[in-house]
Amino acid sequence: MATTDATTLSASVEPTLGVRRKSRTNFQLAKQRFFRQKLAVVGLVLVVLFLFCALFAPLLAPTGYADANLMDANKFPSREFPFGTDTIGHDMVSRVIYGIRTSMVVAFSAVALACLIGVPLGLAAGLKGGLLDFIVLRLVEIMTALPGILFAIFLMSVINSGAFKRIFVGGQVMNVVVVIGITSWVPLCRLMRAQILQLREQEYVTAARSIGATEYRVAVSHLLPNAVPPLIIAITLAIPAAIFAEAGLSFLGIGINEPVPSLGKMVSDSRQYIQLYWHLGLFPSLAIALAVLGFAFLGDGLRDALDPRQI
Amino acid sequence: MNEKNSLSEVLDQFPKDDPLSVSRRRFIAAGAAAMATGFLATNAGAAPLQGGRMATALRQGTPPADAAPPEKQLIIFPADVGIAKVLDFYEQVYQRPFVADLFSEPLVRMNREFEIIPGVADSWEGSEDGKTWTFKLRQGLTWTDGNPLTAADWVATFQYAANPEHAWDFTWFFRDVITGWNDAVDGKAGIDKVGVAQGASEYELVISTDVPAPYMPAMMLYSLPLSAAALKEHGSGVYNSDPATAVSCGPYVLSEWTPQQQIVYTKNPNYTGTMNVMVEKVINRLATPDTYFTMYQNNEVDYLEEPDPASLTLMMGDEATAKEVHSGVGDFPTWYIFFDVTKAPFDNKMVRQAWSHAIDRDTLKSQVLGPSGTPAYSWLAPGFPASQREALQDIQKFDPAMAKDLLSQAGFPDGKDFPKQTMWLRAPSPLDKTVAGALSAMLKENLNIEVELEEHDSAGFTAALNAKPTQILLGWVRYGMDYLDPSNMLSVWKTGGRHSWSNPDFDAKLKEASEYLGAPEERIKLFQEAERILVEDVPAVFVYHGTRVQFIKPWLKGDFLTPDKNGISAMHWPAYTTMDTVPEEIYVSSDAPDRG
Repeated sequence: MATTDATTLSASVEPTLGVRRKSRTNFQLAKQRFFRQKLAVVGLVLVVLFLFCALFAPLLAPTGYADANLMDANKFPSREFPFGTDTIGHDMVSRVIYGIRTSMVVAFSAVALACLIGVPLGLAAGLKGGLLDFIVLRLVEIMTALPGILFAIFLMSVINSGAFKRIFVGGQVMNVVVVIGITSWVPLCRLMRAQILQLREQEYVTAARSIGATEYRVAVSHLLPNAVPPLIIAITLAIPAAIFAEAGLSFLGIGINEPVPSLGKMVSDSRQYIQLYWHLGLFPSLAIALAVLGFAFLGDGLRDALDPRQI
Repeated sequence: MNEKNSLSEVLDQFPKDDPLSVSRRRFIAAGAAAMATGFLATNAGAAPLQGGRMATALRQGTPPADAAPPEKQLIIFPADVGIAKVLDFYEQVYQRPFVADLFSEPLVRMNREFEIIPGVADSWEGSEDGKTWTFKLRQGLTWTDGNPLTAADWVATFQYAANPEHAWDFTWFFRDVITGWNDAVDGKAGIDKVGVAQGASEYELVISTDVPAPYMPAMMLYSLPLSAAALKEHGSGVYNSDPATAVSCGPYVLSEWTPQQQIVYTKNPNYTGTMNVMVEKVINRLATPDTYFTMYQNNEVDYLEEPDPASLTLMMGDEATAKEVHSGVGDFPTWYIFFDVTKAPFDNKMVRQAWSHAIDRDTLKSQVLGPSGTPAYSWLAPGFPASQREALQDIQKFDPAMAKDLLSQAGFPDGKDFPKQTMWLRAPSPLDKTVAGALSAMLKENLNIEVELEEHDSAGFTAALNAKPTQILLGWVRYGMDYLDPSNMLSVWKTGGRHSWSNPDFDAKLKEASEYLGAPEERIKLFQEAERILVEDVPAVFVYHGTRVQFIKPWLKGDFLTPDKNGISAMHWPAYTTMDTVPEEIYVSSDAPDRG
């Protein structure tokens, strides 16, 4: 009788002998899948870096964002000014760091507002159905028909003209947050509604209802937690869109006002100097590109990691 | 009046052998000559003013040897796409593209020596008391619809301008001057009471004023009429925004208006006036100002003015393109920060004074403006009649220690609790944005005050500025002369004028000086006293006087670039319009590339 390697025998008979393997949670599995994707890791690193910049900008930036010395205007990158200086002597490193902070604050706030609008609407429409669902769907259709960025431009122009000034009193950053939030809630609403429509037919929901759980409890305790993973992905992908929207509005001159730095505005203002001072547009453009890419990679990575077919 | 030192920065910006340099003596002479011009016009019964240069070959109708054929006589100007809404002065002043005002001619025009010369009026005279001005119109001039050009056109135009329903954005210009104007604009009396009427015949226009107005002929530079018949038919002056309904008695007609793209004027084949223009087609190429330089480099436009510092550096850095750079006084503009002095915190004079001492104009000049401007400490620019910058220099001088001290006395030590401010900018050019950014940085550095910069389109800004009460608490804007007399520039600040500031002493002094018919030197002194009151009360921080830098393609030729008696070689203000002589002094040479 042939003999077999003990390890192999051991391995081959393991299952039948019932040796226990350490079980892993869905989260751990997802985490493992996430970290296997190189681009997702790159995205995570970039996002962490940008969030770090945003949170610790006053500590990282060599100067305040409004500090300028005219005598240092238009200097090219050097040891003293690694990113150079702009036309009135701002240090570009500081401006880019604070510009990243502006982008992060606006993007996260706007997406949070979009969630506050879209998620409850989608949840209610999916849960209740009927007239509420009809109204929400019509709202979604109207908003979908309006080109997002153009509608945002229109809203900003109206606000900047002084209309609604009793409502929009929070300053220009707040105005931009509100406008982007108002024009970004639709995908989140649609996603939430679709999720709820799917999840509300699950047996655990039926079971919860059968023991007397209220609609509110069903929604908050059972449906919402299970709808979160795809929502996280959608939010992660909404953030670069918001970053781009803010940069676009500021590029057009209707977004963030100086001296608050905005990467989009810096790119816009650099255009007439592109033949002389290349550094004015390069670093803000790179920052926008890396921020958008980082969140996009992260979102894609999360989507693959949290794919329910693999859980 | 010693103007030497105050002029040095304007005149010595370029090396003496530089074509852009201007002699100091000539500059002073220009101001004095212009003032004399104004007084010549006041002499009732004196020979009508006939100033101007010798007729050129262009005026005689002989094309120069190097002129391009008629089909290539085309000039393209850039125009702000956000501003271009109408084309006529009396429709809306601040919503017109760069080239407008070609569909009629004013009563008088201005030549390149800043002299007032006959326009449609071939003579004029004032009454003994200076309150009645009679303009005799040339006969035989017609509109393209066949109607004759008569005094009725001016009567209809001025009544339209005074009509409160029209909401003309320039009504302040004639306020307290033309009889019945104030009441008509304020809706207290009918527009038929406005003191602009037909005289003894349909070719005689009579303007009545409430006060002696020796400057009236110069003021009539702004008298481009609309067609009375077209106004009656269409109800507004917007008829000139559509080629199908446009009516002209000027050298050009509107032939195309493609929104967001271009506005095209072509030579009026039925023109009956006296201007002999050679250029067949003039195009306003509509774009945003920050693209103008790229368009200029690509030969998409032939002209550009007030370039940003980077563009100017690039042009001056190359021997060939440096020849395309020209510089002139323009309309003697002053750029300034203005306040609504009726509202906190700017109702406090110490706050305004603190702001005026916090601006380092010299560094602004050396690091940002370059040849585009000179520091301003007063309202009237060097070279303008009655200018006295040196005498007033200390009132708003840069003194950060004094600025901090004043702000502290006003209740805001180190800027603490000073409300964050938003400065309105009117359709800012790249240079405007840079300057405003520098001002914001200086206020932060010297006073620890945060000033946000908010860009507005021209129409919205002007409407907010002119609203009574004004809607702008803090803003950055310019003003340049409308005619070469201190009464014009200083009247910007009179009660009910452009801003909310109201000072009875200033108003009284300005009135006294404006109506003064005695010795010119005494009149100058009165204006200087008025200006001192203005500067001392700081309703505005005067920052710089603009020098109009222009880029002009080498194929634009003619007398318009021949140095004037002050040595200035540039397209004189107000540029390509029937208000001046530029259209008659310019042509396109045969080496122009194909454009348009």
